[in-house]
Amino acid sequence: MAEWIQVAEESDIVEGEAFPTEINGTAIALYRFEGGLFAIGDICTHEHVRLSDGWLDGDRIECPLHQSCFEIRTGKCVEGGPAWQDVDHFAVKVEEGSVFVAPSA
Amino acid sequence: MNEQTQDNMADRRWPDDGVTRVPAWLYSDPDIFAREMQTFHYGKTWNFVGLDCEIPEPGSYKRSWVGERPVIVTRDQDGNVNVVENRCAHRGALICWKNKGEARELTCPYHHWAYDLKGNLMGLPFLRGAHGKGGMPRDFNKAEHGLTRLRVAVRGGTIWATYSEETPSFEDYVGPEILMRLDRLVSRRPLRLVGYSRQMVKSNWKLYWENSRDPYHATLMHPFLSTFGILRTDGDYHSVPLEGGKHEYTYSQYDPELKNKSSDASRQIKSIKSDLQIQDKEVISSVVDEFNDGMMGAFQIFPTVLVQQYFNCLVVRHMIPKGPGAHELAWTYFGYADDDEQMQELRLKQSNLVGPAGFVSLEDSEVLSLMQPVAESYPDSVQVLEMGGHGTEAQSTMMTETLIRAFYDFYRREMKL
Amino acid sequence: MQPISISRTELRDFYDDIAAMLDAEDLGAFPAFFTTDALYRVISRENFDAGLAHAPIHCRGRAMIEDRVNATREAALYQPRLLRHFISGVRIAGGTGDEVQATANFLIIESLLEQEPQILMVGQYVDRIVREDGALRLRERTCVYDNYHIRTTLVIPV
Repeated sequence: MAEWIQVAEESDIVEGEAFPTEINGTAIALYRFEGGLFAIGDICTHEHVRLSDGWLDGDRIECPLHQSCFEIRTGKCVEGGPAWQDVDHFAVKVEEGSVFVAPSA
Repeated sequence: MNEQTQDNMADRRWPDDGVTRVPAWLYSDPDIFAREMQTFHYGKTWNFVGLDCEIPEPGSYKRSWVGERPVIVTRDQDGNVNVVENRCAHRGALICWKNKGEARELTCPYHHWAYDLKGNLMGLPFLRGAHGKGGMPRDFNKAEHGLTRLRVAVRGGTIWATYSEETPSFEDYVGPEILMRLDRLVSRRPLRLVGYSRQMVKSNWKLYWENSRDPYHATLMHPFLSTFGILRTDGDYHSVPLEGGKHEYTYSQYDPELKNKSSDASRQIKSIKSDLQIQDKEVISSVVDEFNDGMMGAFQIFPTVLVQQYFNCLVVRHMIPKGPGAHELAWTYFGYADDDEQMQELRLKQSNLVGPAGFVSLEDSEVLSLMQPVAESYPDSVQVLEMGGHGTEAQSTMMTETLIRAFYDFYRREMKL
Repeated sequence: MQPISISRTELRDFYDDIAAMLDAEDLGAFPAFFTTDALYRVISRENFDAGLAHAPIHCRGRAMIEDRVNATREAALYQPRLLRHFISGVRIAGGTGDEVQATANFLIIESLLEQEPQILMVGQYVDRIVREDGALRLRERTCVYDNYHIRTTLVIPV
């Protein structure tokens, strides 16, 4: 396992809001959903735009440009929009109130 | 149609002599042109838009035109052919700027509205605004804002589109005689795209439409034909109007000995130069009888194309109107996927005969482009169409204008003129 | 076999001679600029770039070039016209075997009765040139025209 990178404090990440950041130059966003913490790639696989600027609806983030949807827990692309490829998802852990992400997808 | 147009049209009265006379205003009047587009191209007709070999794979697309309107022909991920307007449902911008290509979607360059290859609106930027501001109203329904779709018919390797739900099936529209001739060329073997020629002709589209219904001019104005015995008035020739004059076909049996024959009819044609020899005989005499019937000919499918077999040169002439005074002539040359190298080369050589530089077609656009300003200068003059009598029946001769009369018989009924 | 050596001046003269002959509509002299096995084509940029072989003028061998000339002079009807060829950017693109590859831009202005002169065609010559009996000849000339449409008709070879 590659080294973990600290990206946030646990309290930064709240239900119903994206937390955009980056690791090693890669845009990612963290989400809290049903108590769990998740990190996925934040650039839409259709056009280059940050998904976290879009619409968060339950366990899905909807792209602000063309409404492609991705599951925030897995990065899986939901059929129906113009995107057809998943975004990456990353392992997340919390230690002593800090949130860490593993950079290898 | 607005009232103004109807008022102007009411002044127009066809000459009393019926289809043996054609009034010159027919070639220049913008109201007539507008009614033609509404009645024909955007009405109950099947318009040629391309060949299936032009969009071979899922994701392939090409541009085409129905009347003056730009459209996009796509093969979607399911392999089906779609024809949609090349006009964004949002602000009407031209979506597709390339003649051909591969794509997963059609995105308008103006505001990036993205459509799938069937024309469904998949998404549009900032539907929900940004940072809580802007965005579309809550009741905006993407399903109501797709690209305008046309009905599509695929017959053999050809693709056709219509705006009207009332247009009969393609097969019923063209009728059995045309269907048989079309299938002979495009349905027996998969097609190969050989290439395009595009030509801008500054004449009303009907002048070209009539021209390919006019065998009378062929041996006179195209001296190449008679010079090399390809087509002579004393050869076997048939002019056949179909479906009430809407479509037509002409055909002849090719006689390789014809050049050595002399007859009264051919002696009358001053353009014959029997001392002229062609050196590369392959162009006109090394012909493969690939349909095993010794025939060559052409047929029109109203209102867009002349499909022509000239020996082994196979081509669709697509007439794309550009206002009352001009049309684009888009020539799509094709062969068959299993053509060997020799056959491919033969088709290329014989395509010297027909096209913008074709030995038996270059005169057409010359004459018609000089005819258009004359028609515009004398709008109340009439053309005389009495060769072969006054009727509209099939005739076994080239010395006839029956096909043009039959066309105007159909045209007047549809245009209510 | 060594690539032939052609100076830019000689090449420039060669192109200018062909252009002058075409401007004068002295088509009888046209075939002599080609080798007997020459390929002469006038093809759209659209077809050329897409690898589509169709060319409105496609002559394989000097015999077909002579046929094209004879048909144009003896069996073609077209309105009177004056053509001016403007050839520029003549470049040697490479050499292999006994030939050199050369390219040049062409611009052809057409003057018709009652009309202002207009651009008939603009594009690029893509040529393969050899030396025969001391004279330069075209083994292949592909005239790739940039025009989307041919204006009305293409009569005179490019």
